[in-house]
Amino acid sequence: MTAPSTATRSLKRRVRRQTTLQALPWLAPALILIGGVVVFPIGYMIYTSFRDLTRFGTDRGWAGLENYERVLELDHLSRVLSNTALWVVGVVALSVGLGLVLAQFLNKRFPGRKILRLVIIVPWAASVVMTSTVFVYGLDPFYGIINQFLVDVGILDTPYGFLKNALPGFLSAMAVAVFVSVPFTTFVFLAGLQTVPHDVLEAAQIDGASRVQTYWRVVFPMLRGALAVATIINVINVFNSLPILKTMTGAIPGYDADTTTSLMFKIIQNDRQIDTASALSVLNFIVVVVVIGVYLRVVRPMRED
Amino acid sequence: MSTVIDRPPTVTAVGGGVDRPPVHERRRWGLTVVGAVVATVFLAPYVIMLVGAFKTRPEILRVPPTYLPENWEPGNFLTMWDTPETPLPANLLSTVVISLGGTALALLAALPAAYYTARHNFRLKLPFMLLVLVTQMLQPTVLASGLFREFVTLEINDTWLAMILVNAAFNLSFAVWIMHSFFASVPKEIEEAAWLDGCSRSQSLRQIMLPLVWPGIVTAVIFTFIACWNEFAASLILLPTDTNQPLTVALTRFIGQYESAWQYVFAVSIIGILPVVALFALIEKHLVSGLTAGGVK
Amino acid sequence: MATVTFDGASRYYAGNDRPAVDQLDLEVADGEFLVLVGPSGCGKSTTLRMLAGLEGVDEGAVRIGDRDVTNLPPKDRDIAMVFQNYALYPHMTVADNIAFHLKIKKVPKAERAERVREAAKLLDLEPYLERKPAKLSGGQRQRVAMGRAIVRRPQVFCMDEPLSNLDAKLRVQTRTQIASLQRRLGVTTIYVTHDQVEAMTMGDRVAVLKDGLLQQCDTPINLFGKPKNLFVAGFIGSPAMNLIPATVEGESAVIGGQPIQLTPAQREALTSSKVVVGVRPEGWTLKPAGEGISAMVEVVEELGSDQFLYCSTSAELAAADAADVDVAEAPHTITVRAPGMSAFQRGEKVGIVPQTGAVHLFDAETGDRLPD
Repeated sequence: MTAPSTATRSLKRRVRRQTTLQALPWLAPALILIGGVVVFPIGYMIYTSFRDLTRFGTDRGWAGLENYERVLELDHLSRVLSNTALWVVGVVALSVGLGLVLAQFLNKRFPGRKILRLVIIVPWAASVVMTSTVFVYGLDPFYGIINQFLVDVGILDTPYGFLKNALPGFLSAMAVAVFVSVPFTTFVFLAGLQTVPHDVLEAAQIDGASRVQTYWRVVFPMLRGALAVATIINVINVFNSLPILKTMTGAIPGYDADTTTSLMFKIIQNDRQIDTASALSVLNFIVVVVVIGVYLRVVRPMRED
Repeated sequence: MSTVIDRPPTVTAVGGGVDRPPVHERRRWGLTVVGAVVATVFLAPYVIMLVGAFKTRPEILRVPPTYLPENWEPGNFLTMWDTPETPLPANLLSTVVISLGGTALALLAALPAAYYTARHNFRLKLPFMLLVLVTQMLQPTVLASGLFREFVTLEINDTWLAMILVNAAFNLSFAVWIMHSFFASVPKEIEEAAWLDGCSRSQSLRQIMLPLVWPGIVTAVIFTFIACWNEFAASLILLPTDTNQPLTVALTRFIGQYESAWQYVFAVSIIGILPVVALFALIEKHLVSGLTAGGVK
Repeated sequence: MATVTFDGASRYYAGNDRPAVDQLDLEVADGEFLVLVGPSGCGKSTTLRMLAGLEGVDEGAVRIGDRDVTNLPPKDRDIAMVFQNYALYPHMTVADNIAFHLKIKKVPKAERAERVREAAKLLDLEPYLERKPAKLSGGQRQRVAMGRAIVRRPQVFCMDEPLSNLDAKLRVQTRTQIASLQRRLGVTTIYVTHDQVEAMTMGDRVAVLKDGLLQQCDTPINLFGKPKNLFVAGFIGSPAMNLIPATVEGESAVIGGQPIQLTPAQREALTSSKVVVGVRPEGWTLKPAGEGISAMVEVVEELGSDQFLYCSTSAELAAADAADVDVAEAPHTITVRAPGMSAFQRGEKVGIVPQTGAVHLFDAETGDRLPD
């Protein structure tokens, strides 16, 4: 075979450029939307974090690292950071653990299983704000129906003001966060369980493995992918979660029941300090980027099948 | 997907023993009992919500509370529209307009991209899909201040358009992913056969591809619609005017008030949740693959 | 009905140095059944898809009759195609699948129904007209795909390995059906396959491709009898032709002590002293041990009607084998056909002699056939 002539080489280049150019009109709407509403705000947010803004949004010029310094000097920052860590680790760990158990249960065959699958969807589909309001009402120490129930079954002696103080309020919010995260987690694990081939289970039985051994030695290792996906996506969702804290502990004065996300919203809404909020958002954004990086590394989504 | 899960797991079958069917059966019903408990836990908040929506205002604030209403008050669903806390009719309209607009825009942007990436290989395909995936993992929450600044600059802050754009952009990736996988599951020869049968590109898209990927489009539409419907964080920042706010934000106005009108909160919530749950159940099968972009298989 | 012409047609794929189809010149006569055959990746499917308009033509032209269709979209080419996976429309019944083209072309309903019935009758599909493809067997789906093609009465049929998803028995049956159907309808047909038996039994002419280059296009008899180069020689025929490297000394090449005489024209055409001698399994005469090339039977393959002996040969041949001759499947063993039910045993020593007229000679350097 002779070496490709200049003519064919330029032809090839033309062919290649054509395919990329041909793709553009099809991708353009998506690219414009992502560029305008996702990528641009990231840049604008980073820019704003280095500017000095008035409460009314007038730009008073370059601020250097002032906004970041203001974030780092917040009195309550250490409490908010430890809250955030507790919030993310606690909610994700509990959701993943419960999701794993629930998925294993739903993977069995019993009458009513399909109905149960549908029931578990409800907290996933329902607005988190709406779900949280039920708990705000139900945990009220006077007219709260959940409080009343806990007293009636003997768990509590008298109704307790769960949402009146920071710590119990924060823990209650965590419980609700787990409640709304479990369905998605469960369904990810269910999908993972379906990838376990039937004959592998049979092979394990023939090899004399007990049921517990079969689970830990055969099934669980095959769920590692699902575990990684469930954990990381939950970390992102839980870290970014606002509605539960906003509704359940938003009325508690101070910042003792805040995570970095809810703190950022308080700075925007109550203090109207968009510049400081931007600095905090940039820090949050860096956390999210790191998690996304871990996701891409560990899970390697988009494998062509 | 469901065919796999409908198969009886052998682990149980072997453990139960084939020669003792009654034991086996009883064991299964035992699981049903456990299932019923689980179902109760997951439904309880919504039962409280439903029951609360039918209580009168004095009863829902009574100390100690009643479990079931003494007087069922369906009138809450009518009187709530005039409640002073928030202009509910305007809020419902906002939710509907933003959800429909966001869904339409997301679909419009996602459909061509999903089709093209499923059918063609080009050098920028992987970077593009990666960008889409990263979008899925970003949420408007973390970009709220940037979005706020952008829309103030563009002078579309506090408009439905702003929220339509945000919802469309952040839900685009699910729509692209799910439709991409549906398009990719149709062999390209089927489309080629249609071209050879005399179809133009748009004819083959309408007559051949559309009926085949219809479930994928429905899934994308429903999921996007629900996500828009439930959106909270960005609306909270971007829509300060009460008449522009969607139901989710409007509901928070009730909370923290002395003697909240809980019966209205719950009546609104029922209206906000029921249709969404029904729609969600329709697309349950495809959700995981769309949300994890093939990360679990 | 029409002729099909490829005129220097080439196709490049992005990111690939070699064209998938390289300067193809090919002329298919009106009503002819032409088979494109070659190993996978040889460009045969790409060629077919260029004709159908599913692949672009980067250089050269494709013509159907007098029409230059190089830049026409598939829908305007009046070509029907049968795909390897049949590509039936899953959401339509068999009848709707077959009638789809007529519907697009706005053929009146009555005529449509009539033509669908005709096609269905021809292919024994009448009982299945209202079924969806998912409810059909593989053979039935294949026939629906055929029906969808013939109902159109197109200028050209394109068939892309239409039998490769059928089991062996059905494949042989359908092979004959397609060939006879094509002759009855008289529609110009281009048929792609990787199976050389299909190619030889079905085609009026067979075009052999390799690496995007046309190796030879001829009738099955000529392809088998006068392969133009080593590749065709080795590809056509089963079991494959024995290709034995040899060195020309004087007027003949010697294999296993047996001189093979070269004509002056052949010696003239040689580019070096190296040749490859090709003898098909049926081109040998079996002799008692000691005569001809001595060989030992390693494996006996009994087919009933024939028997194939796989023989190892002398050290001299094996050494020649190691010479740097680019023969795809260098003959460590020589395949010899014997009459069915012969009494040959494994380990038996025999002598083999090439029959006169059964020897093919190739230039070892260029791979081309030497003039006869």
